[in-house]
Amino acid sequence: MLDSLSISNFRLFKKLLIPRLGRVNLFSGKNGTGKSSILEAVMIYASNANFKILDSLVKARNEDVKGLNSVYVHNYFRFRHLFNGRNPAAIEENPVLICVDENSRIVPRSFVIQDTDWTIKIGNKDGSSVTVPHKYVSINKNHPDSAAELWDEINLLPIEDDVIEALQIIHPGVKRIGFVDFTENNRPERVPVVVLKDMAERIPLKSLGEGVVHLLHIVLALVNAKQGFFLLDEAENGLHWSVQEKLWQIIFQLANKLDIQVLATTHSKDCIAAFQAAWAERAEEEGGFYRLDPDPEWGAKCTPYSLRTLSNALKNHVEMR
Amino acid sequence: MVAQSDAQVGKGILLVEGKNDKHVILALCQHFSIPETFTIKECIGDDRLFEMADALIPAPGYADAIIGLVVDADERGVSSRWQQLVSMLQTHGYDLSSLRPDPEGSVLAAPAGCPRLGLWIMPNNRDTGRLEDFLLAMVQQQGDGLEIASRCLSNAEEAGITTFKATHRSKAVLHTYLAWQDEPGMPMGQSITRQVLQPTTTTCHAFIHWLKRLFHT
Repeated sequence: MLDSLSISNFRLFKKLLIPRLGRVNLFSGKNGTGKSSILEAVMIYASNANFKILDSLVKARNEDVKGLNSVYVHNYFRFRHLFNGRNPAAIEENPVLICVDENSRIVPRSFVIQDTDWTIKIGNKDGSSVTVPHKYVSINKNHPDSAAELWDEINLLPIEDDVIEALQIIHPGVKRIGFVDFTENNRPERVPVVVLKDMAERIPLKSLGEGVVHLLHIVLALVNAKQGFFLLDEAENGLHWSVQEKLWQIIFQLANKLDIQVLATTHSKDCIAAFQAAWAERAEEEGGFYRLDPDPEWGAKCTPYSLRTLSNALKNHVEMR
Repeated sequence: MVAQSDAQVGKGILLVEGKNDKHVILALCQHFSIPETFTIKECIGDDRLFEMADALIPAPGYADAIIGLVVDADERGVSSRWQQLVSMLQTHGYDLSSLRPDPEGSVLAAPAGCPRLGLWIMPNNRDTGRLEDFLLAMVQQQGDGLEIASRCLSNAEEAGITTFKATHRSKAVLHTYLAWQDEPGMPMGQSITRQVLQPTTTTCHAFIHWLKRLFHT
């Protein structure tokens, strides 16, 4: 688990310092202030700058579109978008540095693009190869792991009960779930199916709504991030405020049980209120709330909130996003 | 929702305990022609006031704002109020360890990226008491009014017809005096606008000077 996080030279961040992280952390801030970029930075950190991850990050933002990079000889230059300033000439000298606080004992991880004789190398500067489990979920983006694959990792294990319990937040009648092959037109797909308490037949989970399907993905990804990181972008999406409260309780609970560190982003006050309610039931150090603001010098600035200050802001209707 | 519409560069906000505080201060500002560079927000009591300040300090758009606090010393006194402020500000990075409450009203230097803060402890940053004592000082200046109203109150107490709590004595005296002026039952703020009370005490001048210092006017 990271006690703190420092990100240098990555996307809009010249240098961003988050001096303290809790176990379950929620980030807010206006559009374009770098919330999703923080999650990306942790993914790079955890995957040890895995090429596939870097590639997927670039693809997700259309930064691999040929027409935008054609002036550059090698198409590895699509990775220039990951570097602050996007300037290939400057990149060789300036690695991206993602690490915990300078005072920490953990070795910082950085990745570089080295252009020697027209060969581009991307990898971890310190040469280490340890990776940390991590799972990323966003309702709008393609997921690296499908729900079915995540299910395969845990089904029949005791943790399956926690997954069912989470689904019951939306639909208390859920008894058991599974995945069924539904290959059509040679396009293989496995869909979630569910058995309800008072019904014998299996019905598609989607029949109960989009929300519960998205919730399933969230929980499956969470329980697969044991001893690693769970990254949730736009945590409020698809979920009613009452569901969010119970979901945050489950996230805090499972994060603790499975030693997971959670970083999530949101635009929604309901989501923040739900998060605060769940955080208030636990020790202060288990959670953290932060707001990002643009900064002309550093790209972005992070303002942390204590549980008390967040509670006061919500109670007295003072803006915190 | 506070802090989004109020948030402008250099914007000021003065947090006060209640309606009476707000109207008295508005009346004083009008009398002394203080420019409107800050809004006055009434909170519901002293605890909510400190909660509000706690939430405003990190709020979006407040990094270069100015936040003033006007609280009653009450019975607990000035040091206790100061301690309340110190503990609230600790989490926000303000270092008050070398400071004491300023008898002329406190103005605190802010850490980088944080709003400038000011604190006035009614009545005069020294004594126990409240807003009513601040106004009673004006009554005292004007002749025997205070003495007569106090005597009247004592008579009423002796006759066994009073039920006010001891901590509210100054309120009882002030409203007794004001009840005899034109027009009986006027709210406290009006006592200034109608010139029933003259804002010429040293403390009053110190308060205005503190406002000007805090909000740079």
